[in-house]
Amino acid sequence: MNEKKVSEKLINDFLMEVESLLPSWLKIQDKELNEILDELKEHIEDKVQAFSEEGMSYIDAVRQSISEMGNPTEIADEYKRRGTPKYYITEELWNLYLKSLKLILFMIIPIMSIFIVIDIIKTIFTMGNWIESLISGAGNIFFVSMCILIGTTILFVYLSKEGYTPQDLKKIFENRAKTKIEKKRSRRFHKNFNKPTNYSDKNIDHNKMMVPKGFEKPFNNILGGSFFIVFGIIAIWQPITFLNVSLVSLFLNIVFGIGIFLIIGGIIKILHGIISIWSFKAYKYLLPIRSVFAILSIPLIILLILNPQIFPLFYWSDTTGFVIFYMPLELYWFYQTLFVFIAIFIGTKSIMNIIKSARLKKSDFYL
Amino acid sequence: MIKRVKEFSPTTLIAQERSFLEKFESEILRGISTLVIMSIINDSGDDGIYGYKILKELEDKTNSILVIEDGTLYPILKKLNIDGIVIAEKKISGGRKRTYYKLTLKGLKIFHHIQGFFSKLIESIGPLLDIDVNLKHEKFIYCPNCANKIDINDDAVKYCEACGLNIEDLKRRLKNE
Repeated sequence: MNEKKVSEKLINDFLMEVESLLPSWLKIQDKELNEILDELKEHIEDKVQAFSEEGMSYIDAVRQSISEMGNPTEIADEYKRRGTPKYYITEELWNLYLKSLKLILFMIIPIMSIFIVIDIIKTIFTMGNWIESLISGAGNIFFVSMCILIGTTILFVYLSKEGYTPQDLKKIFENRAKTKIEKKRSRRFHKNFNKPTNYSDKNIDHNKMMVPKGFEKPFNNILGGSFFIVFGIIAIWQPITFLNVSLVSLFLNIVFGIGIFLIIGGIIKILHGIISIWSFKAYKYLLPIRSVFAILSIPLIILLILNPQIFPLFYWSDTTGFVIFYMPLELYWFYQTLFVFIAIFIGTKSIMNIIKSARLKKSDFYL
Repeated sequence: MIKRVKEFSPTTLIAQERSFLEKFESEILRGISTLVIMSIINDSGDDGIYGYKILKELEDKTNSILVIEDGTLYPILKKLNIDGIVIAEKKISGGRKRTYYKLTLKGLKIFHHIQGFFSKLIESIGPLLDIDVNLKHEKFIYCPNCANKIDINDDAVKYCEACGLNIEDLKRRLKNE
């Protein structure tokens, strides 16, 4: 490598290091970013020229200039120094921080309250101590609220330290949306460019099929479906008989139900994977069917949420082998929160899939 | 050039107080750096001045005592640009494209105010630090209300640009003295 190339590499490496350390709110603004890097480059070039005029060799002048520029981390940190400090979170982000906290808490607390009320009603019907349920529920709300408060605060302290403003966050979201639209547009342009005059299934080159981003690929569906069927068979068969006698029958029935859902869901998933290799329509219509089926399984999860006492846990003992015990009362909140999230996840993902499949066009599918 | 604590060898005596001193030095230098950069840009006039030249001027005018690290100059200029204190213009000079900086009208007002505030501050703490500070009272007046620096010979100026105080009487009195 000659001297010129080595020098260029040294300068580029330095600029790339600065770029990598710059805050992302600055990096998304291409013009700003280029201006910053260009200016640093111009400065290095001015220094190199000055050192060369003093008699220094070109490569040494480059090395000296770069070393005098300072530490890339410190340079990047200077760009992050933005906003008016206010309790570790900048004044600019303070209102957004409070709004986010309110929004998250207003979403979580009512959901948790519903479960506490259900728990209290259940306790009253089973002649249990409802005050204990109320106190434990209030404790859970307090704990979750504290976690949200700490998590949100850590996030906003980080954003303040990086020099973000609400406008930057808005820009980042807008930029993401714009990138998505541009990608879609460019894909369409690409497709239209290659599209035969009489566009029909016969004209599509299936070797160029491209599953759009966010949609499952056929192979993943086939593999996933196979796993579903294996787990479903185990759930229905319930082969470990010595365990079955120790478990509550309601739990075994729920597992059986889940097994049925897994097997049927698995079969549809495999079909979805195989047929979609040659049929766009199959891909489009099997997705919502699968999603509706997934939503139908949510009542089984709700049944598990409402009956934490039937959920078994195991540990291994050298003397007695497998020991089964049931969910302790203190962990009910964790168990219920976990399953609520699972149910919300399945529900949201299914609804999203239905919407996605409704919007899916043939032109999105083939290159 | 005054060596900053962060450049000291770890074996120096004062290095034990390194973290306190580093923070203290950078706090003092942060504001001063912005002020001197604005001052150099102001001196450059209508043509403006580019980054490398700013540092060269700084080196010459302060006998290399106040040194701003090359890389940290540009974030300061960027911030001044975003705040509307300076404008940046791309120009070809010496066969190379360079970014020239000029003070805006708003920037000039801000500069006069900060300059006056800083000058009066240094003058007032002079006795505490055993230093003599002689402000050029024959050329400038400092607004008694907000310390804004005003050219005594500019007859058009009747009110302080920063706080709006009527300074006509004060100017007349000082001129007569």
